[in-house]
Amino acid sequence: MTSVSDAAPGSDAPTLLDIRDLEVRFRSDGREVAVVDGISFQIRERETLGIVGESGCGKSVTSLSIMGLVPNPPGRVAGGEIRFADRDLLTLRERDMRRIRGNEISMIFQEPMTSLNPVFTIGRQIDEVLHLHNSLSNAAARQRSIAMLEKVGIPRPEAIYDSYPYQLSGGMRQRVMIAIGLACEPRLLIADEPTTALDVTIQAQILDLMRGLRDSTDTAIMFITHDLGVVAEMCDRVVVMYAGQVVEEAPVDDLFNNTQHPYTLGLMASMPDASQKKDRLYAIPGQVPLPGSVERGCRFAKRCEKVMDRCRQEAPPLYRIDDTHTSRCWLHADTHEPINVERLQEEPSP
Amino acid sequence: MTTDTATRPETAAPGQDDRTIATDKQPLLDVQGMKIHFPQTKGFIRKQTQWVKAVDGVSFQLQAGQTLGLVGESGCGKSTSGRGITHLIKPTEGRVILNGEDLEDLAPEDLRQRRRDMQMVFQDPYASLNPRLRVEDILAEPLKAHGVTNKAERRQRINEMLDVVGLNRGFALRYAHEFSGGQRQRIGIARALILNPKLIIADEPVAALDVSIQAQILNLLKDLQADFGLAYLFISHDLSVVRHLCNRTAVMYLGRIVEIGDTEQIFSNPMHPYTQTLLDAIPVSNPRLRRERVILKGDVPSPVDPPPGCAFAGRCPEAHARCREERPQLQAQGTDHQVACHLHDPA
Repeated sequence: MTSVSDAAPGSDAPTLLDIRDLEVRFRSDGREVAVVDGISFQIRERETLGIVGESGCGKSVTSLSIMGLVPNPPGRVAGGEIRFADRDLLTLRERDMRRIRGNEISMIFQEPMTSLNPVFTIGRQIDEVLHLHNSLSNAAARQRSIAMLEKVGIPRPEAIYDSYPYQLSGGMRQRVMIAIGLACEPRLLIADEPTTALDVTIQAQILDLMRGLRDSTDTAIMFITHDLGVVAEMCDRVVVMYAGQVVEEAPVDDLFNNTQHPYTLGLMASMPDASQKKDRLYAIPGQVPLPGSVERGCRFAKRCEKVMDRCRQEAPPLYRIDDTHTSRCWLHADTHEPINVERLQEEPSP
Repeated sequence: MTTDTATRPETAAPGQDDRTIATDKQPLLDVQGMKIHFPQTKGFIRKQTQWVKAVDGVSFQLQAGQTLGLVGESGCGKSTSGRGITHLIKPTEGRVILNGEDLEDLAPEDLRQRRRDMQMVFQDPYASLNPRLRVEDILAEPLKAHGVTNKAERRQRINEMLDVVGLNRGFALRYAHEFSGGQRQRIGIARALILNPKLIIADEPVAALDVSIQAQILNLLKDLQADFGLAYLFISHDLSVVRHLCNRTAVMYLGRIVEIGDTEQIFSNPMHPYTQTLLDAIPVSNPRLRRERVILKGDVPSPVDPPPGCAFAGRCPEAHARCREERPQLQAQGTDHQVACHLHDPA
């Protein structure tokens, strides 16, 4: 495996997914802009990594790049590496990629109604995944599909196997999506806002289910969400993205209790809290800049409370706060060492 | 009111039960035993077979300048209640009294006039603004509908409103699609405020927005309330937002209010098992406070032919025999706190 230099204390699992300097560009109005602009992070085996950010930060495009599903045109992966279990996904042929997709890496989406095919039964849609990746008889596939439905907590799995998506509630559909996602026992599950469209009591059921499945299988999870509460409950480590870049990365406890980047601080302060009354919320002023619209300086400078002259002139590098914690902000310039991302691999282990 | 009034003290005697709890002032909005039932039809001849009891006896009061949060999960009837209050959907039963006037008694033209006083803000700012209109046309429409014929006067009012919601006056000439979600919601709020209403019914106004934008809009709603003395009926599934914004909170389940009262009391001392599990289900933004929680089984039952007893009995960890037979009524549990649950009913 490549780099274990930034392994969390107590975690020495090998790296499963290693993204380096990923750049994804989209063409719009005759101009090509970087939507994901030099992102690097790793996911270890059996780890749950949270990716947090608001709309337009590039979190969903990052996951599409991993799956090899960036729509081209208008988009293209313009640079970087995505290594998955020692293969570079960006150079794989389409037929090899198809073997990985759904089998070794699978994905579940926010809106289960739009990702399930309304004209096929639930059973047929799970069977399809099993048939694509394994040579199973129809009877064996049916048996395994029903077992999967049972595993994700669906009551009367035999009856649901023959039902259509519209006959199920939102929570049930999301369970079916998870069953499809996990049918081939993938090594990495990408969950893109899997509970955002659900009610809180159903969200609690689904999160509980995902925790249980994670603990009983060896699946690593990349959990994309805008909800810091969900991150706190589910993730081991967190990457915070803003305008196509990683601005902070830390183990979940550090992210919440030793927050470094002003954007992460702003996000936390702007969340209303059901467990205590805040008189007024902190609101990050302004809005996320359009891709390619910040010509120089820090992309967050315009909205930042702690902005300095330097922030408007020069883009800050990532600074190493400690072994496992990085933050992209000039505030750390006097106290911490910057990381040269390209050189990370050669850096001596601390 | 009909049949089951005798068993429902909270709607049977307006002026006693609920009103002793609120202040003596005449409430701005007084909803009494509102029911909204939709017929369900079957087959080619659309034979009416069953009733969907979307709202099934909802009563509450809202004072001028206050905020009442209406919370619950999808399908509990909170949005339908909002539409019933504005008479966008006519309630099947019950009364909606705005400023002492029963909306039911009003002629259609008078009802239209009264809507000046109550305006709605909707969830999806992408769907609720006409993409073919400029912002100034969107904002001029309610003025025209309510007889502001002078163009200069309209223009001035539109500019004032843009200032109030924090948008640049130059935006008046642009189209809705040129704006971000947060800006669109500001336009939606400006449209609702332009007639100087007393009551805003806001249906999930921040649910579609990013966290940092959500905070901006929530703060704006608070400021506007302070500046204009607005009352809000705030419909939301998000309890954190409700705690932040609302003086009083009503928790709905399957078409009925199961707990209502002062927000602080409800959040610090939730008494209905449903409210307790709802609060417990919210993810806590601190990994050090990860905890085991009671996970509710199952989904909300169908509002077609709801069970005879407590609607929550099938999912309730503390349900007993009485809950499945007898429907619990709202009972006072403190100065401003009512719960419909047999656990808190001495009988």
